[in-house]
Amino acid sequence: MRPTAALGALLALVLAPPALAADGRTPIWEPTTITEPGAYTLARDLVTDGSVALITIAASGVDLDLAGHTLSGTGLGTAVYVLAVDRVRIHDGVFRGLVDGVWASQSAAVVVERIRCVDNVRCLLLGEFGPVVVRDCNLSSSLISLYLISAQPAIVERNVLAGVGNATQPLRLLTSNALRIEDNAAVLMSNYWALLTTGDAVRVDSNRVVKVGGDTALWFDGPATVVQDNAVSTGQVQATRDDVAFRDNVVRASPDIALAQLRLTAARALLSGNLVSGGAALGLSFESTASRGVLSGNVARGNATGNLWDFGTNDTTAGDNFVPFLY
Amino acid sequence: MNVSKTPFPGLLLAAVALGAAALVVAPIGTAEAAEARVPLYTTTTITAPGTYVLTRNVTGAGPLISIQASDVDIDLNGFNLTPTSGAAVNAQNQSRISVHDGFIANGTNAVRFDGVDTGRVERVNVVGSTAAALSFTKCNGIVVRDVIVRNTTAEGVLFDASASATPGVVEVSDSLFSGIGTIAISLKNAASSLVAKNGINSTGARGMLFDTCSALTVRDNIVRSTGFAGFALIGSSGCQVTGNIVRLPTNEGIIVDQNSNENMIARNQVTGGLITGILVGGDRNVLDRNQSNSNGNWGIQFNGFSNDNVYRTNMARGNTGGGCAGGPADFCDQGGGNTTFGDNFLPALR
Repeated sequence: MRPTAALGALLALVLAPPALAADGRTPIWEPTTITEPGAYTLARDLVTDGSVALITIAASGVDLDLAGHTLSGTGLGTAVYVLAVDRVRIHDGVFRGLVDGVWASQSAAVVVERIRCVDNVRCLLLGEFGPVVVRDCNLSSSLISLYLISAQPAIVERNVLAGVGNATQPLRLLTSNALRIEDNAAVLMSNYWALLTTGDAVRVDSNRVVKVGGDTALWFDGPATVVQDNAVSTGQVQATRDDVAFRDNVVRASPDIALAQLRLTAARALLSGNLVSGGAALGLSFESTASRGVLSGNVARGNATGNLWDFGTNDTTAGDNFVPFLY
Repeated sequence: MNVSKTPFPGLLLAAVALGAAALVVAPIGTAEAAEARVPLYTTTTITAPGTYVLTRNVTGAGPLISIQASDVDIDLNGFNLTPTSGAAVNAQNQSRISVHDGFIANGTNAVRFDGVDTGRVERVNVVGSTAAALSFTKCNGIVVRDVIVRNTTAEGVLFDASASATPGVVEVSDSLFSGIGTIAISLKNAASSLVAKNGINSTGARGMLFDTCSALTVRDNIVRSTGFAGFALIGSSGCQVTGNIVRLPTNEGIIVDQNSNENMIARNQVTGGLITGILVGGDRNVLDRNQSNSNGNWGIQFNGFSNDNVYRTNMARGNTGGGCAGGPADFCDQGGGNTTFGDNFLPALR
């Protein structure tokens, strides 16, 4: 290589700005309040003593790439605090040892993707004014891993909720309507509920839940909820509002000796094609407050105190169920 | 620290300068290869194929980015396009155009493609458009995925191939729509297309409209609180409409009009509508395993235009007018030859 060419190459390497600067994103390297729209990238790990949020987002239209870095504390503080703004995307980072990972209770159009959260009290608290997406996250907390409040419409998909932190309620999705909860995995929970919803027009599809203790696995306390193709093991499922549909779910081996594995307490529930087996109490039950439910094509076998019990009124079965009273 | 867009003024200048420098150093390694994308930092007309990356927020009269070449990829890179008028991104009569990963506010359209063959809009967060937020006219091979559209005056997504010589193909999936002025997703003359896993809340008109379409898959969408019907097939045939939730439509939940034939309407749930849950006017459609409860008129209606439809294993309870229109309990037929095996749950009352 000729000297001039070598010098040119060397200068190009030495003078080149950091790679992240090439795409114009603003680096963040210390506790920060973002006050203008744009794209930001975390350039180092941050630690809080709990006195401030590590990153506060005070502008709409912000993309925050955590770039694999960790925001951590010693049991106090918030990683990312989002004020009453909209259009925020937070992605690709780790929250550890904090009270809250993301707190965005008054924000709209918030997207959270590829976050790992461990040893927090809460991982994500989102909602209030508009659409929310939570996707491809690993969440583990001691209280609530994902807390949605009045987020509508919303998507919660492809997340893993591991029970290391023994969360009381891993997914607490309150008054969130037009909500799709799909393809999430919740394992080894010892808690109240793996999932609680209270909104309407909720679709719960192809989730996998295994519990090792505690009470109800899935509790649907909103009307017009469709629950289908889920696999629930060693946990109980119940719906307590009108016009729900359970289709093609597998619910098995609930250790609860008091409640049926699949328990309906309201009106006009549709149960179709479900497999409910091996529970410590009843398989399917329409409680005394239930009415006008329909069963079609369900299989319930091997439940300790009976496979189907109808305490309600005007519930109807088609002839193609396989629900012998016992076994 | 308080961070504005440019905490290091020099950094932005370096970034812009690097756009040209990166082309020189591109062969050195992969990092440099990434930077070989052409930076966009002001209102721009793109006239050459290539990959482009937005490196700062851009505002001004639209179109902010006008695409006049084929084979163009625009990475919005987490930045904002805010047109004060016109469209944010505009392309006409080009092929293989992609726009992704950023925010677009205000203007007439966030993205407007006319006569584009093969285009993608992904991971774009849109608010405040005064015309169709994502507008595709005379296009084919369009994918809209993982977008959020809010608070628009007109449609969320408008795909209109009615002036095309042949139907167009489009996918709209995994997207959220809220506060839409008219229809959240409107497809005209689409074929072999997919509308799936979208969430729609609060529209001024129908949640979705499929007008003169064929061979669509419309599945697993949630449509809530619409200003007119939940969604409608108008002159559309051969479609799979499955697993959708419609909640609180102002009119019907699902309409299959008199010119919509041979569609499969299965495993949908319609509740809380002001009038009939599922209204069928066409011929030879199948209604299978739907749940149509708690609506303000009938659960299911085959009206006077309908003929030779088949319905089975549907549930319709708690509807004000009864489970079905035009027959005794469990049998519906206001048209001709609409048939059931009798395994529905459509009581006359309750």
